[in-house]
Amino acid sequence: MAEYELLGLFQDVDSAGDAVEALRQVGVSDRSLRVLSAFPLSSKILGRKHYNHKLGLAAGAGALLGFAAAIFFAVITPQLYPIVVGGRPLLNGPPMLILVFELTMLGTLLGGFLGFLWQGGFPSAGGLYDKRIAEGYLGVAVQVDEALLEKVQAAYSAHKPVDLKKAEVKPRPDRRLLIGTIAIVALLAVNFALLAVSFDILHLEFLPDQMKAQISFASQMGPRLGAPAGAVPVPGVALVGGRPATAPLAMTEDSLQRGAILFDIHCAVCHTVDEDEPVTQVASFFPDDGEPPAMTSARVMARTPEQIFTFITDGIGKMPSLAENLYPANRWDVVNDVRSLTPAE
Amino acid sequence: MSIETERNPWMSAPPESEDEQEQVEHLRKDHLLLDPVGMEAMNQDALGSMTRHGRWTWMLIVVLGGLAMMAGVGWLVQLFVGLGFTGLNRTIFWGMYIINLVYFIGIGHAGTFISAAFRVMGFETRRPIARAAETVTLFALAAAGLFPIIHLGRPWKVYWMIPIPNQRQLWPNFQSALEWDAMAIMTYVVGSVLFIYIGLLPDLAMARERTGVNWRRRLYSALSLGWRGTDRQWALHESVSTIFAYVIIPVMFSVHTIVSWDFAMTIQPGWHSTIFGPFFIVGALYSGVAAVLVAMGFLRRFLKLGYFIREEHFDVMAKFLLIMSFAWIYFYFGEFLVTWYGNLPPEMTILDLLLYGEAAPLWWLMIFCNVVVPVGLLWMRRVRRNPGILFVIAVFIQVGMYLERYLIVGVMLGRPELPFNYSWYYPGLEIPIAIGAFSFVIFFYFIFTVFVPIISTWEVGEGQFLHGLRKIGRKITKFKSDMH
Ligand code: HEC
Repeated sequence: MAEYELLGLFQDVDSAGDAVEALRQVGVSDRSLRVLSAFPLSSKILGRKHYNHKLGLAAGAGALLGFAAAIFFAVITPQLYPIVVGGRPLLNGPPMLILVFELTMLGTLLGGFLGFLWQGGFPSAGGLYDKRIAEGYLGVAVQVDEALLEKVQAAYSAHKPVDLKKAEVKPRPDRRLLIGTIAIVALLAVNFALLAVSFDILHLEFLPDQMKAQISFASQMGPRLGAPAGAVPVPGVALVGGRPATAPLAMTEDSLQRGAILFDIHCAVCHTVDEDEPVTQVASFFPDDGEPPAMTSARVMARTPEQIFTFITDGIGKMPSLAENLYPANRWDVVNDVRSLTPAE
Repeated sequence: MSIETERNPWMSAPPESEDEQEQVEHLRKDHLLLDPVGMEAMNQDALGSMTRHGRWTWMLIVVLGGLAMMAGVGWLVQLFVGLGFTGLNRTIFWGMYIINLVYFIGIGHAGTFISAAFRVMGFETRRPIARAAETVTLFALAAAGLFPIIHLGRPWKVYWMIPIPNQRQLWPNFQSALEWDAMAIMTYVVGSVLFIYIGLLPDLAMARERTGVNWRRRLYSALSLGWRGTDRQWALHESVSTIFAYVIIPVMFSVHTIVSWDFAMTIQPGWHSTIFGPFFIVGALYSGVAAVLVAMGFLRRFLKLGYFIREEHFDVMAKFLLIMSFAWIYFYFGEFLVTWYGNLPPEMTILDLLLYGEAAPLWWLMIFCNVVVPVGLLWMRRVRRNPGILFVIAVFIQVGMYLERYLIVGVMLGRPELPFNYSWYYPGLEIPIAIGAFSFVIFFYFIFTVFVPIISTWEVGEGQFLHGLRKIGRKITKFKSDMH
């Protein structure tokens, strides 16, 4: 049986209310009745049953989800990626409360809004409407099947509507589920796209993985050099008249081994050994021309051991003095190590 | 003839005597809600305002847009040259960018708050100005949101704040005050945008019906989501608005409290104070209400919305402003009294600097703008009902509140505990960027009024429907009927 939608237009609240009552008398159910107005009118004014919506539920569900997300961020993720700051525990009460508050509120808002969309049937394209409703007229709309149509029309005309519109209702599939699914899939897709850009899946040139690739040492990390028995930690004079005060050490295996370890600790943060290696993280902080050169570059190869010794002692250009880090003897170890390097073919 | 005039015999039928006639006319002139002209005329007026931007207004808009672009260019320069191009230095690491952030978030406070709190408390004055106020929030927040990013030397790393697995093997530290900030501002932005959108739905539907078939109609059809104004939709609309109002009030308190905690959590003298949370909220509301007054003045003047935005609305907002100024003075005094009584050298250094030191001119100018001008003038009814004078006062308060933030960030920070770290801050590139940000807000405000009815006619219509006149003895007075 064909279904029809009717929309009667009324000038004032009283006649609209009466029309609603008359329609109900002829057997129109309250559910298929709607009163359209330009501003909110309470159900009592229109003589309608109270509408029990589930908005509070939606907002509550949103709040719960927000709360759960906050707990996830505050409690679970710190265990996955521990950052110990100033000796504080990973789980902190007060800052956690702030996060929980904000995300719970955000969840409530989103839940309420989505509930509003869902229960209000938004977005929708259907339904009779009249321009005059926005101008202050009242519309009374019903959906009835053919059997009731005549009685309903009579009930309308008894209350002298300004206008009465009629349209056949074509059953339309409810697309909201489809739209909702598409939205969720799109969201997930965006998420994965973000993941791909930021995670190790795609190595994009502008996001070099330097934090992970570069050499790093924790404070006081070994292997540590033991002092010879009876040694006194006196570094002695390093330079005399701008030239090394001590003679270079012999290129013994001992010295080379120490040199290699010390190079890794004190120089490798800035310098690479070979020119083909990717520059270090620190190197990218130096302006283009002042980058720390690779140890086997022509520029360094041209230097004498004495010169390299003075560079370590005094620094050169943008390179700081490392005199505080290395005893003169150890500087020679490093020089030996540097001298022993050969460019990779 | 439409429902509201018909329902109210006092409004359609001529009153009996001349005296009564006079009383009725007086009341109607004073109160928007007693002066219905019918929904149709109202809709026409509100929609018409979208095309009432005169030649001068458009010129202003173009100039503002140009200034905003200039700020964009300034930012580009900073991107290439680096943060060192600004006046920031090692002691004063927060400069005008953070001042602007605090300032614009402060402005953004009032809009949604006025509309939410007035709604919860049932203040009828909110009806025509709620949208105008919320829009201030919208664009002030947009500007505020830009500044932390401009302040980043490498803005392309801003996604490091987002908790996604990443190549750094690092996760945002949710115990950090900066992460609280990001969360709070995000919540507030989402809430404000949705709140303003929910309120807009019926008006968008109205605009959809009233525009001919063109791009505007297509825009409004899409945005109004098929709103018809059925009683169920209205019931949902009321409930969701109420939920939003109740949630947004605590969120708005949290946002500015957290902004203040960015400062108060450090041990910088002058910042490390428990009073900072409420003090910032009061300051934010103070400057925010003043900003709403500026916007109301603009709308009345440039868009000729005199029917909707009347002297009574200016009066109410001005009273609110006066109260906020008292509250602000109270907090400011309380903050400094404790410092003065405690007499700790690092704190006293700052107090001396402000009261009679190098920063004294700025400080006293701020006191003049924030205390002398409003408290000296706003108690007068004639001032409160004069949009022109109010506009000037509101601008004074903007200057004062900007200075207040400037002193907190740009001056106090230069006096840390250790004297060899003392420093001054001389902004350079930041100034054009700040000017651009102000232009940005006003520019988008105007552009918004071109596309969206800035007056909520359904709210005004509802108010007019509920209000009426009755006669008690010889006096005609207004009453409000309760629908629920
Ligand atoms: C903080 C980063 C840094 C560290 C650590 C560092 N350097 Fe350098 N080094 C530089 C920079 C930058 C330059 C280029 C200087 C310039 O030209 O301005 C440089 C240049 C050099 C040069 C070439 C100088 C020339 O003019 O030929 C040598 C040799 C050198 N460093 C050796 C070392 C050794 C050996 C160590 C470890 C003991 C070391 N550097 C540690 C940054 C560093």
